[in-house]
Amino acid sequence: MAVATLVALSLGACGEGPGGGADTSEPGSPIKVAFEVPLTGAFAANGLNQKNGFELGLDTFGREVDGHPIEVRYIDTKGDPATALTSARQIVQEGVTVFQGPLVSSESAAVTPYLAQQKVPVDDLTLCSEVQLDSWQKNGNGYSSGWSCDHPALMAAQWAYEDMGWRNITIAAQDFSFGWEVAGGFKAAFESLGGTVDQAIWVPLNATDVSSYVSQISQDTDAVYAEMSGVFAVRFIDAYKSYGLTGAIPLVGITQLTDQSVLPQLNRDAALGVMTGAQYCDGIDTPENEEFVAAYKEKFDLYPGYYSDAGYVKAQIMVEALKSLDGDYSDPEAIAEALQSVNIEAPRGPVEISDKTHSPVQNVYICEVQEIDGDLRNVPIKTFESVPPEGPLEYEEWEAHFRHDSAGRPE
Amino acid sequence: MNQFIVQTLNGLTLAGIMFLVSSGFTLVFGVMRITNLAHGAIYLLGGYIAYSTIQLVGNFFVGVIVAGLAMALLGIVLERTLIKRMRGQVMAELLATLGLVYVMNDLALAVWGGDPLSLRLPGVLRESTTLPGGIIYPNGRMFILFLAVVIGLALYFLLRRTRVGAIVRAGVDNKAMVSAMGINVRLVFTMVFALGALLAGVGGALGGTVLSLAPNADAEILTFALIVVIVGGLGSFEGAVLGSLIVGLLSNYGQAYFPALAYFALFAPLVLVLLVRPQGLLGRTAA
Repeated sequence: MAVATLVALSLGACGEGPGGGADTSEPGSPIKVAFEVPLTGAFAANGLNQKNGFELGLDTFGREVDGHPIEVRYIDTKGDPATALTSARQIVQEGVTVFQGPLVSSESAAVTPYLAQQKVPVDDLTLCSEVQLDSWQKNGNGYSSGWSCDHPALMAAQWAYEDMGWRNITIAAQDFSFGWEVAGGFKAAFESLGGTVDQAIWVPLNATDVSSYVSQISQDTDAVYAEMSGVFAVRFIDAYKSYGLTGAIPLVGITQLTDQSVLPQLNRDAALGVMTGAQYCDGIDTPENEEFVAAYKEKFDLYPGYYSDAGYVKAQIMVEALKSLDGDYSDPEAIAEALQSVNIEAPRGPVEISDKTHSPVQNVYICEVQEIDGDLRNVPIKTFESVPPEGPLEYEEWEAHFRHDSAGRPE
Repeated sequence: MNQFIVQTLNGLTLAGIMFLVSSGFTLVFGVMRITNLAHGAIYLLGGYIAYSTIQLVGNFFVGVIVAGLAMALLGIVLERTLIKRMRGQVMAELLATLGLVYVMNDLALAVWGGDPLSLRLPGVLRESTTLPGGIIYPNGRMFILFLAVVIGLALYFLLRRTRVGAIVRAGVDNKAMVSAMGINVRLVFTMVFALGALLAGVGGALGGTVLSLAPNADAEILTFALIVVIVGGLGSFEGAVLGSLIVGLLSNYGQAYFPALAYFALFAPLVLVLLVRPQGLLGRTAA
């Protein structure tokens, strides 16, 4: 109903409003959106959740702006940087108004410089690398609507030190740039407060048996901070239980550790009580999130995970920004500017894009896996409101470690 | 010390799963001279079928048995319809089995999706036991090790003490002679291919409790199986046992004690074996 009204209103606005500048603003011409996302291969599940979220977002916020239909093309990157770059070239040559960026950080690294050179407005899922930060700070064409990789880790560290009183922590992380960035953020914030990282366990991406790493965790650490996602999250949490650590040493992790994309696969006894520092939890208690969860559950018969929220928010920001352009989509710089000026109330809370980092200033939650009506859910137990990307650190300190950690393991 | 014992046990359970997969692989190669690159995909499919069966009937053991039988059936169908058409053409067989990998993986992705699945062990197997010395070790892994040993002994008995085993072993050594003795080599081929697939399916069901089932898990396990049979000796059953132990333990010690060199620790013995004994530790040179 609300959607119909919005569409009707925007149609009206178009009829009365002044004609746009270039040919893209002819009445009824489509707004071309390209969405690069892995739909097959190892990241297929995450990609599909993002696509589902985006579709639901378009259903909710409108598939038409000022009489211009939003035309979305999904391009399967298979999680492969070379494919992502080749498709990006083709898309740009064929003309695109808004580019929705890839999912895997290696894909982002491949397409970011090309899109900047072509001045294409791009909404990337994450800010995870120096390449992105440099490119966006210099060119202003791109930003991340999802998160900066270490953002929740910074706040998890502050919470661990101040609220929980932990002083010694073991970090377990996957041995690649995303893991370095997250573990590095946690370590920098935790040590700046006065804590100690006892041990850092690096799990290679091709590790077959995560148990050999879990069984290295020392019994006398205060807590474990884990950067694990997908298959690794499932294996890690199961192993944590079977080696007798569950209940003995608290386990805290990143959003994806117990995100709804893995939670249904987890052993109930192993998952209950696991905590995450997260930018989104499905149990957030706001009308925006309750509406989103209900709509998502109805459409896909699943609880939304982080990737679903991310897709939904991408649609919300894009539609909102396009509306502010009064039917003129000819100037990529104005579009990029509009996309980054949007302030929205998303399911994950208020989101705005920082001028400094081109990544979100948003809430960070500490969530705990609880059983609600027989389902495992992530429920916030603490909220840090509208946190800037640098978290508790000084901005310069944050940027220095962020740049360093995207290239190698934190020292 | 405790840490070392835990890592050794971890290595042994991993070796158990590798043995189930690689013994089937090596049998098929030994008898039929086919490098079945789809063996990993059969492992993964077996795991997925076990997962769905367990969801349906709620019994883990039924799941393992159904997975094994379903994969044996698939093996029979593949051997009868596809493999037999290209007998003796090494390149065609290799490419056909590689093609099967893509078909099976995409079908699995369509049916079970890309989310990682893991099989849940029933009841007491999900618990852990405190061993003497205060080591906490999961029962499930000890059970997998036990099961691998039982299946290994059964295979040994089948190959060494029965007529079927004698035919299979004779087939490994001299196929033409077996044929000349009036034995139906065709049937032997089909049965061996089915047995290989059955072992892979059971391996997938058991492996799925420890290693998770997801796209690409088949390539991981196939790599291990290849290393195991190259170290142990292609076509040799005892070689698969020895190879699994070496690879399982080394891979685990490597990960625990020299994480930066984990893959070196795994591949270094492979290179050594290839240099010193190209036919593998227990392999025989081709007659």
